[in-house]
Amino acid sequence: MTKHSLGVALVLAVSVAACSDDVTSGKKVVLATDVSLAPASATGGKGGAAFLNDAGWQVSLDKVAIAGAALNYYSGAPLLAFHHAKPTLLERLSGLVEGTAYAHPGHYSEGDTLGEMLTPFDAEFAKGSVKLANGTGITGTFRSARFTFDGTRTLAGKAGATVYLAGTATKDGVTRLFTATATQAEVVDVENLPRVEGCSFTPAGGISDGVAVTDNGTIHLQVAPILWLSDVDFSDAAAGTEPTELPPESRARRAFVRNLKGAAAFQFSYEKSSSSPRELHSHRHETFLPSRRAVPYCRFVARLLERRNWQCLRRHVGGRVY
Amino acid sequence: MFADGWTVKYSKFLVTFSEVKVLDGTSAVAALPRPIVVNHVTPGVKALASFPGLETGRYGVEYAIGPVADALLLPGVDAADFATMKTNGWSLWIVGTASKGGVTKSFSWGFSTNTKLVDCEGELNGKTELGTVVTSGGTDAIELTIHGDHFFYDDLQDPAAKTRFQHLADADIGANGAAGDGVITQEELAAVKLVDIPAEKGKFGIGGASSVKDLGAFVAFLSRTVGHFRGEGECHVQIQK
Repeated sequence: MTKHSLGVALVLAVSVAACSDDVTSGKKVVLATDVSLAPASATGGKGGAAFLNDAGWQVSLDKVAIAGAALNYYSGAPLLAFHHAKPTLLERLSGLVEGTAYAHPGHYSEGDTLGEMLTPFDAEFAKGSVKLANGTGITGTFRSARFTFDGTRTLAGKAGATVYLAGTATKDGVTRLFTATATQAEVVDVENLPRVEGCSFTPAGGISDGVAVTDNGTIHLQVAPILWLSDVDFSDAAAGTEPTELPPESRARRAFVRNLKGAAAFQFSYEKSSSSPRELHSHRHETFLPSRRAVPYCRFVARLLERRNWQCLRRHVGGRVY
Repeated sequence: MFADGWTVKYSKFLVTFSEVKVLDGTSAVAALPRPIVVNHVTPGVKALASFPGLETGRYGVEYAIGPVADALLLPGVDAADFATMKTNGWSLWIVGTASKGGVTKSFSWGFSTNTKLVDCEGELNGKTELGTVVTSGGTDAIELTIHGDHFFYDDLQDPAAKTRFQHLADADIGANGAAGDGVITQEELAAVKLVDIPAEKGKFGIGGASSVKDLGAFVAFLSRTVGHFRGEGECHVQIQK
């Protein structure tokens, strides 16, 4: 006879969750990539480039630009963890169903590395989707993603900008023409890295437990600037006929910069391609990753490119990854 | 004692355990027949259930902390308190005081969050084990652990988050900025926007939790993180409401 008992206790303690670095094998795939605005339909008619924010300002964006260094795709649950059957896209984008991957404060548990797009880019997509470079991956269930900002590029003439917005905000007959720019230093996370982790991978119009990537296809990145400006009170912006940057120490700008760290603004989805597969290719990326990523990364690369793990590791002592 | 010198003492710490399941794959092989409400101010480990007759093997464990209409009340839980929880739709209700340097603040906060904790893993015999392993003729005692300090962390993502209370104490203010009444309400917490907290009091980072804009939402978010497994073990958190 076996017996199983349950008990409960109250303790006051703290610990830090660990991440799994295992790699799941699968078929190699080429993943085209594009970036666009999360559509208005995804935010209850308030999204896209025109929306009413929580501070009551009607915002219309003329420019939405981001500079990215990499997109990484993982098997681990996102920071957005849905568990009721059909949360709406509005719920997803408004972050009403956010959770943590693990219960203690700490970075989310990314799980296995399933794919990546490592070609730095800058893209302005207020008026439409922009194609990015191809990425690579292996088949599997993609559940979460990481967006890494690139602070080495120039957006709208502003060197080092990682995010740039320009538009008009109107409330009670008052209009403000504004720009909002953030640098790489302003978007770093608790590990001082310019990235947003735990972004959600969801099927179009749906939910739940990730997306099955079964073949070559396209990763769609949809960005929701409504979340970056959700509680920005444009009263802080200067009046005038020319757009001006949100004042550096203003509450409006503090809110904007805080919001850039939210995972809900980056939504990933996958669309299977009907075109013929293209050859994978290897090339050098002058990219540094945290040293704790070198081993799992090399396992991933070794499987992806059918190379020996040590060949990769030999190149990456100190965290440098090709 | 917290990092900023405050100490907290609970007089009520009511938690509703619902949907406690032992799983073979995705199928429940044992489950609590009825939700149970526990008052963690009552000292010691409280027995919830015993599931005899399981086949040997590894099982998953999951549970939820969510509001319920009916529950078994363990000793230490007043029926009147459960009625209050039920009326308000709360799954968690904490009441207590915080003190520092002769200043005392009281609080009574209820949370209607419904959080499922799945894929629980924890240390067993020196190894991290997913769920539980039932051996032939053996017994495994699983502890569903509630971490009572999590309400007071100063960051949602930082692994080095500290427990603090000053930011919560400062939320207690009277009308037009007058002195507070010594009672910190959840309405007062909701009135404090994170963006307005001075940097010297802490970052109050939200990680990826885009919807958390004020202290009320911040503490409510932290309330979802109290559930653990075998002491310091972790579960994946899924939000049901």
